[in-house]
Amino acid sequence: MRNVAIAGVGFSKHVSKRRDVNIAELVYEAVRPVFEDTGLSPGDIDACVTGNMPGFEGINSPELWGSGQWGGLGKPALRITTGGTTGSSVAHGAFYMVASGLYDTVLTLAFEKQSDGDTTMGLNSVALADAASQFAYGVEMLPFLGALGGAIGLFVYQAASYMHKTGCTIDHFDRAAAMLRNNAVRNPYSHLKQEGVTAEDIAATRMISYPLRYGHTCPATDGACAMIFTTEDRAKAITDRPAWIKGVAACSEEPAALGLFGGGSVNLVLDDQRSCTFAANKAYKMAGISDPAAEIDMAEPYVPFAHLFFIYFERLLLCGQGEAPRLFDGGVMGIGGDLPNCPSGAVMSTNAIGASAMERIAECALQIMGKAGEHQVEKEVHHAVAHGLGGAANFNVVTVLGDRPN
Amino acid sequence: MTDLENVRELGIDIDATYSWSVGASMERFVRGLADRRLLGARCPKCSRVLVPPRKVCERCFVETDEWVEVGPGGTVVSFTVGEVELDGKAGGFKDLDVPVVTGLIKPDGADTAFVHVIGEADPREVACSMRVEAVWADEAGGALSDLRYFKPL
Repeated sequence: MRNVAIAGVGFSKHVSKRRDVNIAELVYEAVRPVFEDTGLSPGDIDACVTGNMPGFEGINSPELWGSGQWGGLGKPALRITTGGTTGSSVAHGAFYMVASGLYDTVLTLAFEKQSDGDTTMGLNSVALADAASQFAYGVEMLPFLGALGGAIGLFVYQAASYMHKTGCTIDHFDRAAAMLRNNAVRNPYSHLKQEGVTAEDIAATRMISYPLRYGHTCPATDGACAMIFTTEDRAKAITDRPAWIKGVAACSEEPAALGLFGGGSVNLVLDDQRSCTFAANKAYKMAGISDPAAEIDMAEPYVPFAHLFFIYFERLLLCGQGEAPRLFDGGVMGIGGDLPNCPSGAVMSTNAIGASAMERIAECALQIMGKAGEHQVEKEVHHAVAHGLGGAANFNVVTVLGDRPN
Repeated sequence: MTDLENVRELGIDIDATYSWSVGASMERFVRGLADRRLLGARCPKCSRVLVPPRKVCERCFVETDEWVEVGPGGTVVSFTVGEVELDGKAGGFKDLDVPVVTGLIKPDGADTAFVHVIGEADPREVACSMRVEAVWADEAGGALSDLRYFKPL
């Protein structure tokens, strides 16, 4: 298997409504900087992998409409959509292509233009069938499902169960949310920028469904991300400091909440996320990492809701089970901390859904390349872990990146 | 054997409303229609005039930067004559009172073509390479429908 590097990263601006451009034009805004940054042109690209949420914009096969305008004319185009994990699956698709020797240089494109879409149809692609039984009971979930990207109904049960087990409190969620909102202010590609927001400000926001408040949730975003995956030789010709993909793994398990039609859940330990730990173990092993808590320098888990900031820090094996709230209290997870967690501001601040999981990997790549600017973590980053979450909170994708090839 | 007449189903009605941005290039195209002008975007590298316009020339991967007026005359690249419409029942058709002619029209001065209605035309006389001309709505509404159809010359 060949070594694979990320040699370039491009973002469009991320805002709630880009009414002035269409999908092809929006994605181009991420593609142009990645070509400018790497000095590559479409002639250097061997294949494209794209992804966005199925059904959100109601435009099928957007990659076939847009890939010519994204530098992919006459090249293989592969679309991958795996719900919330779409972006990480897109990146893994590109990794497989280069690692296998099938293609040398692959352009990845992940995007969402939520303002074009219909909320109910978007829901239909992620959670409507899961929630249908509750409508039948007379529980009207649609308002908060719809307002918040269709997923909170899956997560409130998980958050309450995690609090019960660990002693984590809503105050922890408030403080974590405030930290992430402030990280986002330092990130030029983030959407929700609330300069100086405090935990008290977050605590004053409306409780949507216990234990998650409005301030614990993510916005709906229009935005795109592009990356170049390539071989060791080509990466070294493009940049002195590429980010290397060291390990990849994905795992699906039992749905963590709701379940279809009957409203049941086989899984009674909703925060367990064994599929995340399973994938993390595999990816760390592939990367040659035996003690992730000591060897990982920063983490970028998929955090659309505040409680996941704690759960995934644990499930990615960066501390013991139930220890994340205490470590957060000790200041470990800030941009200047020993193990920064979500320096980008997280999905909680920016959620162009199809792009979100790839942007976790892009953030790790920027941190390793030293290109994160104002939100560059203070410590040197040799190893980073990125994570994507999808399905009925049951599918986890883990990517380990490093500053040296295997 | 399972009773297929009495299976239980959970029904959900879904209404969907999309609002697609037509995009920066098409905005300008549609504004041109309100002035009874067909606008194309020229690629600075290959000089092709793209109608409807695009921000990026797909062949050259450069941004189009010049606006040129094309038409109102054009040439029929290909065409079809629609004779039925859906009757609203599953898979059913009913005859149209008046067949609808649509064509792939290449406006004069453009290097691309787009589909539009060919009006005021006898379906038996429509042919490839036929010359046509734009017919505009009496009152422009700033919509794609400001260009009503193309008629044979």
